[in-house]
Amino acid sequence: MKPREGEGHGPADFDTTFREQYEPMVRSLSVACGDREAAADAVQDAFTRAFVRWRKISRYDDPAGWVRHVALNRLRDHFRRSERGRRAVERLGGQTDHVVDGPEPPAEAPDALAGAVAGLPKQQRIAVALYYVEQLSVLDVAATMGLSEGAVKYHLHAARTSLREVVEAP
Amino acid sequence: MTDHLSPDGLGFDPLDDALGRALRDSVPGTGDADATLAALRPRLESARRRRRAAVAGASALAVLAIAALTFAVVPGGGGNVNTPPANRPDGATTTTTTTLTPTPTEPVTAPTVAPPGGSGSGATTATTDDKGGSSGSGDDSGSGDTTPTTDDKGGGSDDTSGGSQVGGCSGGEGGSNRGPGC
Repeated sequence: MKPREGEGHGPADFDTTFREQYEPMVRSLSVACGDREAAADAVQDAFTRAFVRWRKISRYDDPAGWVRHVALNRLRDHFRRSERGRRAVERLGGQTDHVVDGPEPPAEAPDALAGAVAGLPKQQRIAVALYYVEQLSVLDVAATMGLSEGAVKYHLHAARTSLREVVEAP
Repeated sequence: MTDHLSPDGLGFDPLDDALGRALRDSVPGTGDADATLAALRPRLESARRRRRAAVAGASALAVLAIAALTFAVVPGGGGNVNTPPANRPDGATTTTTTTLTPTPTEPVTAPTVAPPGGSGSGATTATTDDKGGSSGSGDDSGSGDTTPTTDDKGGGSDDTSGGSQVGGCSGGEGGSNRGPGC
Protein backbone atom coordinates (compact mmCIF):
# COMPACT_ATOMS: atom_id res chain seq x y z
CA MET A 1 0.00 0.00 0.00
CA LYS A 2 1.57 3.19 -1.15
CA PRO A 3 1.11 6.45 0.64
CA ARG A 4 -1.28 8.74 -1.14
CA GLU A 5 0.03 11.71 -2.93
CA GLY A 6 -0.78 15.00 -1.39
CA GLU A 7 -1.08 13.59 2.06
CA GLY A 8 1.61 14.15 4.59
CA HIS A 9 0.76 11.05 6.52
CA GLY A 10 -0.29 8.28 4.23
CA PRO A 11 -1.80 5.02 5.27
CA ALA A 12 0.58 2.55 6.81
CA ASP A 13 1.57 -0.65 5.08
CA PHE A 14 0.40 -3.79 6.81
CA ASP A 15 3.50 -5.87 6.14
CA THR A 16 5.81 -3.11 7.29
CA THR A 17 3.82 -2.57 10.45
CA PHE A 18 3.84 -6.27 11.16
CA ARG A 19 7.60 -6.60 10.70
CA GLU A 20 8.29 -3.61 12.91
CA GLN A 21 5.81 -4.24 15.68
CA TYR A 22 5.27 -7.98 15.98
CA GLU A 23 8.34 -8.88 18.00
CA PRO A 24 8.21 -5.96 20.48
CA MET A 25 4.55 -6.65 21.12
CA VAL A 26 5.09 -10.33 21.73
CA ARG A 27 7.99 -9.62 24.06
CA SER A 28 6.14 -7.08 26.16
CA LEU A 29 2.99 -9.13 26.40
CA SER A 30 5.08 -12.16 27.31
CA VAL A 31 6.43 -10.22 30.28
CA ALA A 32 2.94 -9.02 31.11
CA CYS A 33 1.36 -12.44 31.20
CA GLY A 34 4.27 -14.79 31.63
CA ASP A 35 3.03 -17.00 28.81
CA ARG A 36 4.89 -16.56 25.59
CA GLU A 37 2.61 -18.71 23.46
CA ALA A 38 -0.48 -16.95 24.68
CA ALA A 39 1.14 -13.59 23.96
CA ALA A 40 2.09 -14.65 20.43
CA ASP A 41 -1.44 -15.94 19.77
CA ALA A 42 -2.96 -12.71 21.02
CA VAL A 43 -0.73 -10.55 18.86
CA GLN A 44 -1.33 -12.68 15.78
CA ASP A 45 -5.05 -12.58 16.38
CA ALA A 46 -4.94 -8.81 16.72
CA PHE A 47 -3.00 -8.48 13.48
CA THR A 48 -5.52 -10.73 11.77
CA ARG A 49 -8.35 -8.52 12.90
CA ALA A 50 -6.44 -5.49 11.75
CA PHE A 51 -5.76 -7.06 8.37
CA VAL A 52 -9.43 -7.35 7.41
CA ARG A 53 -10.02 -3.73 8.40
CA TRP A 54 -6.68 -2.40 7.31
CA ARG A 55 -8.11 0.12 4.85
CA LYS A 56 -9.66 1.94 7.80
CA ILE A 57 -7.10 1.22 10.48
CA SER A 58 -4.18 2.26 8.33
CA ARG A 59 -5.49 5.81 8.39
CA TYR A 60 -5.39 5.99 12.16
CA ASP A 61 -2.73 8.06 13.79
CA ASP A 62 -1.25 4.97 15.42
CA PRO A 63 -2.31 1.72 13.72
CA ALA A 64 0.15 -0.23 15.87
CA GLY A 65 -1.50 1.18 18.96
CA TRP A 66 -4.82 -0.22 17.79
CA VAL A 67 -3.25 -3.63 17.28
CA ARG A 68 -1.55 -3.48 20.68
CA HIS A 69 -4.79 -2.53 22.39
CA VAL A 70 -6.67 -5.39 20.74
CA ALA A 71 -3.89 -7.85 21.58
CA LEU A 72 -3.97 -6.82 25.22
CA ASN A 73 -7.73 -7.25 25.36
CA ARG A 74 -7.44 -10.67 23.76
CA LEU A 75 -4.85 -11.61 26.32
CA ARG A 76 -7.11 -10.48 29.14
CA ASP A 77 -9.97 -12.54 27.73
CA HIS A 78 -7.67 -15.52 27.43
CA PHE A 79 -6.58 -15.36 31.03
CA ARG A 80 -10.07 -14.65 32.25
CA ARG A 81 -11.19 -17.87 30.64
CA SER A 82 -8.17 -19.68 32.03
CA GLU A 83 -8.92 -18.37 35.49
CA ARG A 84 -12.52 -19.50 35.30
CA GLY A 85 -11.38 -22.93 34.19
CA ARG A 86 -8.87 -23.14 37.01
CA ARG A 87 -11.48 -22.21 39.60
CA ALA A 88 -13.90 -24.71 38.17
CA VAL A 89 -11.29 -27.45 38.51
CA GLU A 90 -10.62 -26.37 42.08
CA ARG A 91 -14.30 -26.51 42.91
CA LEU A 92 -14.46 -30.00 41.54
CA GLY A 93 -11.63 -31.03 43.84
CA GLY A 94 -8.88 -31.31 41.30
CA GLN A 95 -5.61 -29.49 41.21
CA THR A 96 -4.26 -27.31 38.49
CA ASP A 97 -0.69 -27.55 37.52
CA HIS A 98 -0.59 -24.27 35.68
CA VAL A 99 -1.40 -20.91 37.21
CA VAL A 100 -1.22 -18.23 34.58
CA ASP A 101 -2.73 -15.14 36.12
CA GLY A 102 -2.06 -15.64 39.77
CA PRO A 103 0.61 -14.06 41.90
CA GLU A 104 2.94 -16.99 41.51
CA PRO A 105 5.61 -16.73 38.85
CA PRO A 106 5.02 -18.77 35.73
CA ALA A 107 6.89 -22.01 35.25
CA GLU A 108 9.08 -20.57 32.52
CA ALA A 109 10.38 -17.64 34.62
CA PRO A 110 14.10 -17.86 34.03
CA ASP A 111 15.38 -15.70 36.82
CA ALA A 112 14.51 -13.75 39.93
CA LEU A 113 13.54 -10.62 38.03
CA ALA A 114 11.02 -12.40 35.89
CA GLY A 115 9.67 -14.05 39.01
CA ALA A 116 9.37 -10.69 40.73
CA VAL A 117 7.57 -9.19 37.74
CA ALA A 118 5.20 -12.11 37.67
CA GLY A 119 4.42 -11.48 41.32
CA LEU A 120 3.27 -7.93 40.65
CA PRO A 121 -0.40 -7.05 40.43
CA LYS A 122 -1.77 -7.33 36.94
CA GLN A 123 -2.00 -3.61 36.15
CA GLN A 124 1.55 -2.98 37.37
CA ARG A 125 2.80 -5.92 35.35
CA ILE A 126 1.24 -4.65 32.16
CA ALA A 127 2.49 -1.13 32.75
CA VAL A 128 6.02 -2.37 33.38
CA ALA A 129 5.96 -4.55 30.30
CA LEU A 130 4.73 -1.81 28.00
CA TYR A 131 6.97 0.87 29.46
CA TYR A 132 10.23 -1.01 29.99
CA VAL A 133 10.14 -3.79 27.44
CA GLU A 134 8.33 -2.15 24.52
CA GLN A 135 9.65 1.26 25.58
CA LEU A 136 6.42 3.13 25.02
CA SER A 137 5.80 6.55 26.46
CA VAL A 138 3.56 6.96 29.48
CA LEU A 139 0.95 8.45 27.18
CA ASP A 140 0.97 5.43 24.89
CA VAL A 141 0.87 3.06 27.85
CA ALA A 142 -2.14 4.94 29.16
CA ALA A 143 -3.85 4.74 25.79
CA THR A 144 -3.16 1.04 25.49
CA MET A 145 -4.37 0.23 28.98
CA GLY A 146 -7.30 2.60 28.86
CA LEU A 147 -6.10 4.48 31.93
CA SER A 148 -5.17 8.03 32.70
CA GLU A 149 -1.59 9.18 32.56
CA GLY A 150 -1.52 9.64 36.31
CA ALA A 151 -2.76 6.14 36.93
CA VAL A 152 -0.01 4.73 34.73
CA LYS A 153 2.63 6.73 36.60
CA TYR A 154 1.26 5.41 39.86
CA HIS A 155 1.45 1.80 38.67
CA LEU A 156 4.95 2.31 37.33
CA HIS A 157 6.13 3.86 40.56
CA ALA A 158 4.68 1.07 42.65
CA ALA A 159 6.17 -1.58 40.40
CA ARG A 160 9.56 0.05 40.41
CA THR A 161 9.54 0.17 44.19
CA SER A 162 8.78 -3.54 44.33
CA LEU A 163 11.44 -4.45 41.77
CA ARG A 164 14.20 -2.27 43.15
CA GLU A 165 15.57 -4.91 45.51
CA VAL A 166 15.80 -7.51 42.81
CA VAL A 167 17.52 -5.20 40.37
CA GLU A 168 19.99 -3.75 42.86
CA ALA A 169 20.82 -7.11 44.33
CA PRO A 170 24.30 -8.30 43.33
CA MET B 1 19.93 10.79 40.64
CA THR B 2 18.22 13.82 39.22
CA ASP B 3 20.36 13.95 36.10
CA HIS B 4 18.72 10.83 34.70
CA LEU B 5 15.11 11.79 34.46
CA SER B 6 13.03 9.70 32.19
CA PRO B 7 11.38 11.40 29.21
CA ASP B 8 8.06 11.30 31.01
CA GLY B 9 9.43 13.08 34.03
CA LEU B 10 8.85 10.32 36.50
CA GLY B 11 12.09 11.13 38.26
CA PHE B 12 13.44 7.61 37.91
CA ASP B 13 17.13 7.08 38.40
CA PRO B 14 19.46 4.82 36.38
CA LEU B 15 17.65 1.95 37.93
CA ASP B 16 15.21 2.39 35.09
CA ASP B 17 17.83 1.58 32.49
CA ALA B 18 18.98 -1.47 34.38
CA LEU B 19 15.42 -2.60 34.90
CA GLY B 20 14.49 -2.17 31.27
CA ARG B 21 17.62 -3.91 30.05
CA ALA B 22 17.15 -6.82 32.42
CA LEU B 23 13.52 -7.26 31.44
CA ARG B 24 14.27 -7.17 27.73
CA ASP B 25 17.02 -9.69 28.16
CA SER B 26 14.77 -12.00 30.09
CA VAL B 27 12.49 -12.45 27.08
CA PRO B 28 13.94 -14.36 24.15
CA GLY B 29 13.39 -13.13 20.63
CA THR B 30 10.52 -14.32 18.54
CA GLY B 31 12.54 -15.20 15.49
CA ASP B 32 12.00 -13.97 11.98
CA ALA B 33 9.00 -11.72 11.59
CA ASP B 34 8.90 -12.41 7.85
CA ALA B 35 8.61 -16.13 8.47
CA THR B 36 5.85 -15.51 10.95
CA LEU B 37 4.05 -13.26 8.49
CA ALA B 38 4.36 -15.87 5.75
CA ALA B 39 2.96 -18.51 8.05
CA LEU B 40 0.17 -16.19 9.01
CA ARG B 41 -0.77 -15.34 5.43
CA PRO B 42 -3.36 -18.15 4.87
CA ARG B 43 -5.05 -17.19 8.08
CA LEU B 44 -5.17 -13.58 7.01
CA GLU B 45 -6.68 -14.43 3.64
CA SER B 46 -9.24 -16.70 5.23
CA ALA B 47 -10.22 -13.97 7.63
CA ARG B 48 -10.57 -11.54 4.76
CA ARG B 49 -12.82 -13.93 2.84
CA ARG B 50 -15.01 -14.44 5.89
CA ARG B 51 -15.22 -10.72 6.39
CA ARG B 52 -16.23 -10.08 2.78
CA ALA B 53 -18.85 -12.81 2.93
CA ALA B 54 -20.27 -11.34 6.09
CA VAL B 55 -20.38 -7.85 4.60
CA ALA B 56 -22.02 -9.13 1.40
CA GLY B 57 -24.61 -11.04 3.37
CA ALA B 58 -25.39 -8.08 5.53
CA SER B 59 -25.70 -5.84 2.48
CA ALA B 60 -28.07 -8.25 0.75
CA LEU B 61 -30.15 -8.47 3.89
CA ALA B 62 -30.32 -4.70 4.13
CA VAL B 63 -31.43 -4.40 0.50
CA LEU B 64 -34.15 -6.98 1.05
CA ALA B 65 -35.32 -5.20 4.15
CA ILE B 66 -35.47 -1.85 2.35
CA ALA B 67 -37.37 -3.40 -0.56
CA ALA B 68 -39.88 -5.00 1.77
CA LEU B 69 -40.32 -1.76 3.66
CA THR B 70 -40.82 0.19 0.45
CA PHE B 71 -43.41 -2.26 -0.81
CA ALA B 72 -45.28 -2.03 2.44
CA VAL B 73 -45.24 1.75 2.73
CA VAL B 74 -45.89 2.97 -0.82
CA PRO B 75 -49.63 3.75 -1.37
CA GLY B 76 -51.33 1.27 -3.64
CA GLY B 77 -49.02 -1.45 -2.70
CA GLY B 78 -51.57 -2.88 -0.37
CA GLY B 79 -53.97 -3.96 -3.08
CA ASN B 80 -56.39 -0.98 -3.29
CA VAL B 81 -56.75 -0.03 -6.93
CA ASN B 82 -58.55 3.16 -7.94
CA THR B 83 -60.05 2.82 -11.40
CA PRO B 84 -61.95 5.65 -13.13
CA PRO B 85 -65.50 4.95 -14.18
CA ALA B 86 -65.81 3.70 -17.68
CA ASN B 87 -68.08 5.44 -20.27
CA ARG B 88 -69.55 7.92 -17.90
CA PRO B 89 -69.81 11.59 -18.82
CA ASP B 90 -68.17 14.08 -16.65
CA GLY B 91 -70.32 15.43 -13.91
CA ALA B 92 -72.79 12.66 -14.05
CA THR B 93 -73.68 11.37 -10.75
CA THR B 94 -75.23 8.16 -10.05
CA THR B 95 -77.70 7.79 -7.33
CA THR B 96 -78.88 4.54 -6.30
CA THR B 97 -82.33 4.42 -4.86
CA THR B 98 -83.75 1.49 -3.24
CA THR B 99 -87.42 1.12 -3.75
CA LEU B 100 -89.49 -1.20 -1.85
CA THR B 101 -91.90 -2.94 -4.12
CA PRO B 102 -95.15 -3.45 -2.38
CA THR B 103 -96.37 -6.88 -2.25
CA PRO B 104 -99.47 -7.27 -4.27
CA THR B 105 -102.62 -7.60 -2.27
CA GLU B 106 -105.70 -9.32 -3.29
CA PRO B 107 -107.74 -7.07 -5.48
CA VAL B 108 -111.10 -6.20 -4.24
CA THR B 109 -113.49 -7.68 -6.62
CA ALA B 110 -116.69 -5.97 -7.09
CA PRO B 111 -119.59 -8.18 -6.40
CA THR B 112 -121.50 -9.00 -9.37
CA VAL B 113 -125.13 -8.74 -8.60
CA ALA B 114 -127.72 -9.67 -11.00
CA PRO B 115 -130.53 -7.18 -10.95
CA PRO B 116 -133.83 -8.63 -10.08
CA GLY B 117 -135.57 -7.52 -13.07
CA GLY B 118 -133.04 -5.88 -14.89
CA SER B 119 -132.47 -6.43 -18.40
CA GLY B 120 -128.99 -5.54 -18.31
CA SER B 121 -126.28 -7.68 -19.20
CA GLY B 122 -125.66 -8.39 -15.65
CA ALA B 123 -122.34 -6.94 -15.35
CA THR B 124 -123.47 -4.05 -13.44
CA THR B 125 -120.87 -2.28 -11.62
CA ALA B 126 -121.83 -0.51 -8.57
CA THR B 127 -121.47 3.16 -8.68
CA THR B 128 -121.19 5.20 -5.67
CA ASP B 129 -122.75 8.37 -6.51
CA ASP B 130 -123.51 10.20 -3.44
CA LYS B 131 -125.10 13.17 -4.90
CA GLY B 132 -127.56 14.01 -2.32
CA GLY B 133 -128.27 10.46 -1.83
CA SER B 134 -131.18 10.55 -4.09
CA SER B 135 -129.92 8.37 -6.72
CA GLY B 136 -129.53 5.39 -4.69
CA SER B 137 -132.36 3.58 -6.23
CA GLY B 138 -130.16 1.83 -8.54
CA ASP B 139 -129.95 1.90 -12.14
CA ASP B 140 -131.14 -1.32 -13.26
CA SER B 141 -131.62 -0.31 -16.68
CA GLY B 142 -128.10 0.27 -17.30
CA SER B 143 -126.48 -1.46 -19.96
CA GLY B 144 -124.00 -2.81 -17.85
CA ASP B 145 -120.49 -1.81 -17.65
CA THR B 146 -120.15 1.13 -15.55
CA THR B 147 -117.03 1.83 -13.74
CA PRO B 148 -117.40 2.23 -10.09
CA THR B 149 -116.57 5.65 -9.12
CA THR B 150 -116.56 7.31 -5.88
CA ASP B 151 -117.82 10.73 -6.28
CA ASP B 152 -118.47 12.46 -3.11
CA LYS B 153 -119.75 15.66 -4.45
CA GLY B 154 -121.88 17.53 -2.07
CA GLY B 155 -122.90 14.51 -0.21
CA GLY B 156 -122.28 13.86 3.35
CA SER B 157 -120.07 11.35 4.60
CA ASP B 158 -120.29 7.98 3.24
CA ASP B 159 -121.64 6.48 6.29
CA THR B 160 -124.29 8.94 7.02
CA SER B 161 -125.54 9.36 3.57
CA GLY B 162 -125.84 5.75 3.07
CA GLY B 163 -123.35 5.63 0.36
CA SER B 164 -122.09 2.22 -0.22
CA GLN B 165 -118.49 1.66 0.29
CA VAL B 166 -118.37 -1.58 -1.38
CA GLY B 167 -120.15 -2.65 -4.29
CA GLY B 168 -122.18 -0.84 -6.70
CA CYS B 169 -125.50 -0.79 -5.04
CA SER B 170 -125.54 2.72 -4.00
CA GLY B 171 -128.26 3.82 -1.91
CA GLY B 172 -128.98 6.65 0.32
CA GLU B 173 -132.13 5.52 1.85
CA GLY B 174 -132.14 4.14 5.23
CA GLY B 175 -128.54 4.43 5.60
CA SER B 176 -128.13 1.00 4.35
CA ASN B 177 -124.94 0.15 2.82
CA ARG B 178 -126.72 -1.56 0.19
CA GLY B 179 -129.13 0.08 -1.96
CA PRO B 180 -132.48 -1.22 -2.82
CA GLY B 181 -131.18 -2.49 -5.93
CA CYS B 182 -128.85 -4.84 -4.32
